[in-house]
Amino acid sequence: MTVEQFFGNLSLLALALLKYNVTLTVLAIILAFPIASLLALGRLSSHRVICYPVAAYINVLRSSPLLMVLFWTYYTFPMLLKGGNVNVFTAALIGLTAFEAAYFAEFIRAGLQSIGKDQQKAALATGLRPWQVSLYITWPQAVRRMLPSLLTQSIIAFQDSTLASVIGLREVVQTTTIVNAREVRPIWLYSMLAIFYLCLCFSLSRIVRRLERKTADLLNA
Amino acid sequence: MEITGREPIVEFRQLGLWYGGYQALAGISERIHSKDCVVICGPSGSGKSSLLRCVNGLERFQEGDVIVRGISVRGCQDLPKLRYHVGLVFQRFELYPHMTCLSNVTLALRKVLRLSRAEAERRAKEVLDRFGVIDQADKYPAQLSGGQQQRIAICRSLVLEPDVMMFDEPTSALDPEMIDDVLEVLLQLVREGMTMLIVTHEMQFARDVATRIIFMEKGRIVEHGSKEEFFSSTRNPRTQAFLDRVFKEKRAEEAHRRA
Repeated sequence: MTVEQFFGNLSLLALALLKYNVTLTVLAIILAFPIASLLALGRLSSHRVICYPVAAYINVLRSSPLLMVLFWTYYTFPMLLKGGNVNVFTAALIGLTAFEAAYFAEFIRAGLQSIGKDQQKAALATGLRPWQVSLYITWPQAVRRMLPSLLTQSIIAFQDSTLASVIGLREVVQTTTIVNAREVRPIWLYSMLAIFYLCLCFSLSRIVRRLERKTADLLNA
Repeated sequence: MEITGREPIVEFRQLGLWYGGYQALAGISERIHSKDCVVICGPSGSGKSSLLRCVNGLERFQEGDVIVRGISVRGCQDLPKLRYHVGLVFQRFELYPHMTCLSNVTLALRKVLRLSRAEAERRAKEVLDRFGVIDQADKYPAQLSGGQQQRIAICRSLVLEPDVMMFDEPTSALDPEMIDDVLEVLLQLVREGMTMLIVTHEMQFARDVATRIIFMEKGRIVEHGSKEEFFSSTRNPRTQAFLDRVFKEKRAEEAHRRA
């Protein structure tokens, strides 16, 4: 591979990564968090009409491979609902969002439940309303506790975004395969891909770990 | 609402509480007047804590009623508005760990009473100073000893100027050295004329400070009366057995500490 080709391919991969994988992951996370919060609250609800369907959703999506979920959102559901096709990126986004929301919901639920009931009762005893207790007491502490799990799951989501290649999204893995079909340099190309992902995910993990330490200090003062 | 001193501040009327099929409280009727210092004692599981929590509606009881400042808790549509008039201090302090001690105390002032931050802090610091914990204002609860934390917890309720303060075993989670600190605070409150409802095992404290004593067992009031009646002429054998046991334990503890 000439130097020109190397940098040419590198920029091609980087572009695909930013345009699709990064965008897909970031959007999915931004959408998944509020949805997951609602799911978590629904899961904790005392009304069976709410908590049973929500629990069903969470369990089904956590028991299914993301690949299958992507097939559903790209092939199955559009055919059943519209009788036609959907945009690949949209399908990938819906699939990844729905998938991650189920995982986030469990982390959020665990975080909320980890806040002592008596502490919340003490807050109510001072005249605070339930929504105020949630806002000032429960959620601030719960978010700090669930942050490590949520961030780790987000990094996994970033890695999983590569699965969208299977439904035809021109993201980084798909782009590598296309370039390889043209130049037939699998070792070079797939190694570049691997190193890309390795550097990125490793740096992200380190940032997460540093954040973990900072929030742990804050909570334990 | 004017408190004339003749109407009870808290009145229990045939109060009954069930947890599923288990009856935690039965037929509780009692009147607590202004400046009363009522100590509630009894074996574990007798419903003492549940009783306190019925007063501010944290426990939703099924039978009877509690009247607080003339307002029925059962029919109350806006419990949060009633709650800050009744202070409740917990056995394990239950301070908010993610806020400074000052913030713990000012939160309700700012969000319930809608005071400005400056006014809330001024009031909070006044109360913290009164009880000797002003130096801990900017620290986090985890940095404080148990006795200090409990005093902050008392300030948190007190700063809302309640008509009655309830204490659910305030010293049970403390090391012996710190129990006296907190009992001193309770004493100070009694001297200042606060109406108090205290669940405690500290019978010596009850002897010194209480005006009335209620003995509970299995969800019922077994015996109640003024302090003098209670300690000198209790006729009920179960009460006597309980007192004997508690004083024996206390004597053993003292002996062990001296040794």
